[in-house]
Amino acid sequence: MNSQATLQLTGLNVVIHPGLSLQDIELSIRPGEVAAVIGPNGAGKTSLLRAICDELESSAGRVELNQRNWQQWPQQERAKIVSILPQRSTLEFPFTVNEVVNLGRIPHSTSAQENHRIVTAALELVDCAQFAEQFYLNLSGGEKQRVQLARVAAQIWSTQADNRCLILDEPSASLDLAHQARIVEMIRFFAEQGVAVVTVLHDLNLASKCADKFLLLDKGKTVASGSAEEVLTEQIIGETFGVQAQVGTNERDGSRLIIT
Amino acid sequence: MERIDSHRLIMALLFLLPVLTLCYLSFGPSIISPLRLFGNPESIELAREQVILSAIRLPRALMAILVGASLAVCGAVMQGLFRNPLADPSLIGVSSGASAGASFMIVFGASILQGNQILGLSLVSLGAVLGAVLAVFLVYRLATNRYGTSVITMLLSGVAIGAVASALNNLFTYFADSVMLRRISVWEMGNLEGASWERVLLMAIAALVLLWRVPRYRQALNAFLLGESEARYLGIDVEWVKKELIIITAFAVGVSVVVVGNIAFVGLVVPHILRGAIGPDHRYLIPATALAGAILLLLADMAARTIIAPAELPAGILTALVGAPVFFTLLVKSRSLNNPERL
Repeated sequence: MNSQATLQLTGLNVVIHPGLSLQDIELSIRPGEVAAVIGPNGAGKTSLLRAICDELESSAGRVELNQRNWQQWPQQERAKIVSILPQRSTLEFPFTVNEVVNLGRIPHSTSAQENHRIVTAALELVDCAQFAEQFYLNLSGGEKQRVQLARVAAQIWSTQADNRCLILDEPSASLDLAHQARIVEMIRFFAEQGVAVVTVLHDLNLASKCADKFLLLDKGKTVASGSAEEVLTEQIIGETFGVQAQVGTNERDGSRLIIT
Repeated sequence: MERIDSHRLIMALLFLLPVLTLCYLSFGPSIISPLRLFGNPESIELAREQVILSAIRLPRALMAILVGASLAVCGAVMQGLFRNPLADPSLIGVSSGASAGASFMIVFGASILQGNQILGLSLVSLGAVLGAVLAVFLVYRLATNRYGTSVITMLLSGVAIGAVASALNNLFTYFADSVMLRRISVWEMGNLEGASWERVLLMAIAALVLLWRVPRYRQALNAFLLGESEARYLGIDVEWVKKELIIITAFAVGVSVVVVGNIAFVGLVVPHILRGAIGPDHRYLIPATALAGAILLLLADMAARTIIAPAELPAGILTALVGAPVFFTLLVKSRSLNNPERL
């Protein structure tokens, strides 16, 4: 496996609005690694993802994808290896679920049969195969979220290539418990194939289940970054979120368990 | 929401279009077999029929087909670009912008025209196209902020830009002499009566550009329906696609205003109904929309010619009379379906 970082942020500075800016963000994600961006509301997590995707202009620093500056990638080439799930999607046209997920195949020139196979597999991954022929607009909020996840999964679906990158903004929002667990499985599924994953997560327990490294932001600054042992401590969580937290170990999988 | 198979629908429309065109050619104040077009004019009577067909009915039928197809495709493109099923060239100020641009050229370009039909027509077209592009660009800029395009702002700024354009139109009219006035009044009502071969040729160019360029963006338009950011993440050059499509549609609508005036609601209703029937996938929606738009305007003009025969109604009045209630129904329906915030 490649030891070079898939996604590398160096000294990234972004002015979000006059009262808030991201300062000197450093993050390096290698193939197969999962990084969770955590922090209280308004910490700049979503803005960080948007800055990575060049939706927000950075005032200093750089974003590199496979050792090449993000902006220097041809858009279509980049879309073949990087897939991004925004925080919320507003699709208001009467597509079927199958058609929505198939939109994820737009950057690729694979055959219709191949696309159909991938769409079906991606829908199974998020437990939506039973909705395939239904209309997207008739689904509930959580179901729509899962279909969007399947679309994002279909975009970088492949068996080889460890230069791929998956960027998710709160993939677990509006999902029930069973499907939150499913998201963890999906993230691990891609990580095992060598995909570098960066995801914003609100639920620290969910984050500790799926991530290898953590970036804790508060008011645009990095509070802590590194492994679960370095970031998810009672002291740091208490200071950042303003809550009394107890940190234990989940007996089942050895991940950190945060009780507030 | 039951879907119709898109291939079958397109095949049915492909069959229907030539059949209706033959009907259109046959019926009128006198019933003439379209076969008269070929064959020798043996008598004066036959020669007269041949002239009616080749100089009046055939260009007019082609005009209805070209304008109907273009307006419907422009509607489909705009609804995709604005991500809103209620967008339409006439609702967002394109048509009034085109009228104002055309009037401007008629009044102030008169010295350059010097009675040259072809030059005059192309100068007026240029004015209409520029007016249309300017109007759609202003509406788009006013309605778009960094969170996307707001529907209510878009419709409101369409009304505002439309009001400005018709005020300008009045201003130009004020400076116009009687010959100019007559020419300006041609744009006010959509009417296929004046279809000449020169005008058909001009419209054919606009329609060909439209039907050649738009299908290249069918997948980009599909991606647009997800949202602009999502389209960018799918590798679409969003700004470029937006600019090119706005210019092409404004060009086609502008030219259609020059040749036949304002034909309302074809661009709104046709793509909207087809989207319900075969789904929003632009790979099928665009060809189906082009065919159905052509058929609709052909039918509307056939009705316009026959309802109060031997006199005629302008087809634009007919499409507006039928289209406005349909639009209103769509508005009420989408209001109950959608998030009230967005409308």
